[in-house]
Amino acid sequence: MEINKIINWIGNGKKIPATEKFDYKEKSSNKGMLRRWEPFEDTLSAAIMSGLEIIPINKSTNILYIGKIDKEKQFNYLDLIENKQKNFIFDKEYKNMNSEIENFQYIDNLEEIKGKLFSVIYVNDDTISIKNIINILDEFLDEFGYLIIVLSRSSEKEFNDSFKKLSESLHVIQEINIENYFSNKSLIIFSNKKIISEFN
Amino acid sequence: MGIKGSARNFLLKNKQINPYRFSWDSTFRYLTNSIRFLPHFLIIGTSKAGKYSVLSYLNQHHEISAGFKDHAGVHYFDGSFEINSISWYRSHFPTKISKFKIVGEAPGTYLTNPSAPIRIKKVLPNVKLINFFRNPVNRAYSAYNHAVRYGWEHSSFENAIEAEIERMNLLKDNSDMKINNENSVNYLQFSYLRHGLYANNLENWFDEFEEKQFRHYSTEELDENYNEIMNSLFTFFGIKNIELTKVKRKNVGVEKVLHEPMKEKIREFLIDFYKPHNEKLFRMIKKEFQWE
Repeated sequence: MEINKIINWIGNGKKIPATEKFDYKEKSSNKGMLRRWEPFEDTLSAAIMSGLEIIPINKSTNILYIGKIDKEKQFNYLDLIENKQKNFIFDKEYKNMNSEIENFQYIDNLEEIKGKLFSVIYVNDDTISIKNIINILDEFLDEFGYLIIVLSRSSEKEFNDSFKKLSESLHVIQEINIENYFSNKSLIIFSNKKIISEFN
Repeated sequence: MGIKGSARNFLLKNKQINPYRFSWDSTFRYLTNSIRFLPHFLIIGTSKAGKYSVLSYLNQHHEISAGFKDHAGVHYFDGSFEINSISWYRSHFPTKISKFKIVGEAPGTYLTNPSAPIRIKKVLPNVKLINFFRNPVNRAYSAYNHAVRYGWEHSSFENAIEAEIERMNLLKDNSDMKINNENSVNYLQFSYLRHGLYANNLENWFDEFEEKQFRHYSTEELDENYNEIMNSLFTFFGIKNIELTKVKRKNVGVEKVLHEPMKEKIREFLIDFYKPHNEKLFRMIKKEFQWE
């Protein structure tokens, strides 16, 4: 399989992430075009710049995104899944809003997607409690899926409590401090796959 | 986002016009780069292996300019090679009219970066390359504690090692998950285990450079034989030997451990894990370290 070519945009004296435009690829069989993926504006791009090793998003991924995400960033994610899957954005403030992008649908109530399973749940919303997040994972995360979560480190105690609670039911894949781009934030990838510890 | 945040983002995104980046010192250094040395030696490996003690010894010799505590290395070959010029790199070193005869830098991270040997070969084909290896079991735990101290890591050591093994397995089985990022942190901050695979990392270097360009030591032997080791380096550099004053180990992370001592079960795992790699290293460098 082809290796992701995410880090390949040189701009402002630094290499930053970019994704290969899926809409361009669909229209032309020629060489792909890149879409800049600004690390100061997207937490996953910031994590890539900060040393993220794996990205669990590919053509077969469907995403439940919890939080705010603008249109430009939606396109970055669509580039990764090559517009093949239906994805949802759960954002309570965007009531009745229609996404301009067909494969990203806004919802303001999780009942609307009851019964669906997602291979990636991306939580980028400080206002949701860890208890609620765990309930969402129980209901919507595929058994081999991944949780990508952005946690605030403004309170070290709260961060530790959240990290501990999530680690009890999920397996940490990588923790990335993204404070060079988002003040006091860390991004953590958890796997839902059960791994039996050899050491504990 | 407020005005302050917007201004910060603007300045961070537009570094070329960011007034806070301007410095008379770096401008002067850049303008005078043509009369400056390029390094005669590089301490390429490894991190968490007593680099600052080595620098303290090197800097006792009045003819040597090596890095120092807050500026051990330029990280040109594993950081900004594609962005900055050789003139920029050269601007970090003393002028040829200074008292120094031998200059070098000690990032201690070049060893693990797969692109570094090729880049260094292009710029510094005759450079002397030095490694200080530390028992990889202790190095891994030291690197982990370093990450905990800086707030980068919140897992236990055992879970952090398991997470790294899981990432290694995922990358092996799912190449489409790999991010093609040569940023040095990938080879440093998140590689407690992989950073200690010294032989694998060294193979890339042996493909590019002649054996006579290397010197390999262990951190453990430096503690006991600092005079002998450092003077062997001075001989390697072609400068006179001196009597050195013992320095207290610098930056000893183990004294600032936040977590409990390493569990016996994981120590045993790591010893077994590294055994074949250490044996390979000893064969490659024709030297054996007493790592138990």
